[in-house]
Amino acid sequence: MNIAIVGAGLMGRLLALSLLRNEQLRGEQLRQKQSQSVTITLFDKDNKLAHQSAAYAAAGLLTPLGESLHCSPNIVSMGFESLGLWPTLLDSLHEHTFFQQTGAIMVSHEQDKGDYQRFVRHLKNNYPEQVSYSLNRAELLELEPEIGRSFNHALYLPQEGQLGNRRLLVALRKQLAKESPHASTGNRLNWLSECQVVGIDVGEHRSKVTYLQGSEKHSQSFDLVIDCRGTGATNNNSNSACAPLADLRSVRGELFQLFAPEVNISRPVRLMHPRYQLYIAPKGKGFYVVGATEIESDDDSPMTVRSAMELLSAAYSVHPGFAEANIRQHVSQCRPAFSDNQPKITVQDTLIQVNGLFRHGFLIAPVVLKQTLAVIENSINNTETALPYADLFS
Amino acid sequence: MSLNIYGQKLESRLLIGSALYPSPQVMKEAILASGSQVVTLSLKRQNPAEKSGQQIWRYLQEIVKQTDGHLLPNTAGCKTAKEAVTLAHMSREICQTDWIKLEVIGDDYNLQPDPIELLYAAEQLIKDGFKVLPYCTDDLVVCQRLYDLGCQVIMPWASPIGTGKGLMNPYNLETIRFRLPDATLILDAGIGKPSDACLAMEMGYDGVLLNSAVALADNPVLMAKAFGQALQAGEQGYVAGIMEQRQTAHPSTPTLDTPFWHQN
Repeated sequence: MNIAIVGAGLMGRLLALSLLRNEQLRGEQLRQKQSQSVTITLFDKDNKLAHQSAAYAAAGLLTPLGESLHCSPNIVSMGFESLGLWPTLLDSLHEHTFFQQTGAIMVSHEQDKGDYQRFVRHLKNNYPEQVSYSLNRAELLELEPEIGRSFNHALYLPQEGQLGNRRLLVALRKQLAKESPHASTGNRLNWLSECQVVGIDVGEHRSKVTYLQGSEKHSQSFDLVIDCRGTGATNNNSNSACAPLADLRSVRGELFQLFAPEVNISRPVRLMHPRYQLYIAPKGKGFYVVGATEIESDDDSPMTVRSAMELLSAAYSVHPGFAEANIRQHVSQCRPAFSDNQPKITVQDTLIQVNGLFRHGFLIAPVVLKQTLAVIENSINNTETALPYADLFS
Repeated sequence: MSLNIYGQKLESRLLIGSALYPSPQVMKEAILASGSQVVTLSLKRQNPAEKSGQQIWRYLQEIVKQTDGHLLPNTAGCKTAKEAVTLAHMSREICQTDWIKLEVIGDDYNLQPDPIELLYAAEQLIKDGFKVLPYCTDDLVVCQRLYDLGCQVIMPWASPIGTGKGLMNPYNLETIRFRLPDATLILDAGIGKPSDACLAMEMGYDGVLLNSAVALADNPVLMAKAFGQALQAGEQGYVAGIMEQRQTAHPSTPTLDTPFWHQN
């Protein structure tokens, strides 16, 4: 069996690994089909470092409650479910990826206190079963000694977590190389990087992928094509007129990577802001990611001065030690989103499209992966087995 | 009874902003639920580069088409007349409308309009053929000057943008209404509750422009509907003629048959 995955961002890599391991097959099917090996072809316009991927320009926050004010309850449910799935997934990788679930802190400056109170009220009304603690200055000082002086009040959300997003992309790359051919399934991966897909012709039994490798055009047919191109599948992207998703749009996000050895913050800090959801994510060894803007635009040119000033002044206002930080990187990248800002998995004959993870990629990826594998299983076997998260994707 | 914006008659008296919603889908549902036919948008923040942000732009156009309404581009974020005039010209080209919500900010802390730059910008834009809808403070003289320049629509604030504090100075707002009886007055910014919008309409204002009050509600779609109804209630109350207040209680039923020992 031949399966193509188009796009080697977070979802593309996770799916490729799962397919190598035959995780789309269960029980009886697994025994029946174990003898038929699968060849997976992973197409990506980027090189294997994935610097053009939305997952690269992220912070790896796993903070469902922190996001909850600006997303649907479905995303929050997927986020909590995924928090439980990540440790097993990460443990299955040879290379270590940082993961912690020690909570996150929500703070606000006095002038944004209205937004803070709104958030507190929102949690109380909509997520009364979830634990959160209101902290006064002394309690905040105890939890995060270096930011306690800047704020009179804070909210501690103990269930929230984070992971090393860039390390994970690397770990997945190495794992894919290590597991192909797979020792027990015999499945193989053929990764075509720096290879632009220019056409997907969908057929009932097979779909044809046309791609450019260098200046040469090639075509290949597959039993199943899984499209994980993210913003590459937007309608107005001149490079990808194939199989566009009509309702998909790009939302620009910008963030900084700072090196601030003088700053000691141990867990993600979110700062209330009238327009964005600003965060400072500690990445270990003195590194922090400060993000992220959210601008309705498909422009991925370098960060604007306005965004830079907003993000850096936010970081400085949380901890004056950021004044001495080195700016190691400024990143701008577009994230794919549907009009309801929720992910979608669509099936058209032998084409499955997984897209619209927006700013919630790492937050919800394990759930989207499980759901996609179940969709693949149904597609391969021509069955209609109930999907694990049907209610969240309806 | 309809809202008159430079000769254009609109059924709804609510003008609504397109920022801060949880998603474009919620924005669309809220705008449709409000019944509004004028949607404001900021070009400055959505267009870091030429031709970017086309998807959200198309989305807004679809909403406007569905409501048989109008786009009202604004000059949010501009701090000088020159900047606002340049952005207005760009907006006219992109949005294909000569309507412009003129916004020139004078103070970063409370985003208070700069009356001097606003007057310069309004004068220039009127000369350039724009139909200017200036956002200003509740200062009678500034409103008067804008009207004298040729702004047929004037939009004083209720309170600073996004505060939701409602009508901070009803006396000023009533005075503006009394002194500029022929202007189309739209209360813009600072609205928090549907009753704020209702109050403005009861004062005889022609319309209300808001954004945060709907976009930041727990249920934006329901809040949009509530505002639509509040505006209607206030407008009908104004037209119906509100009774004069009196100093003492007046019984609404005759007291002739009340025994004398029950009186007083």
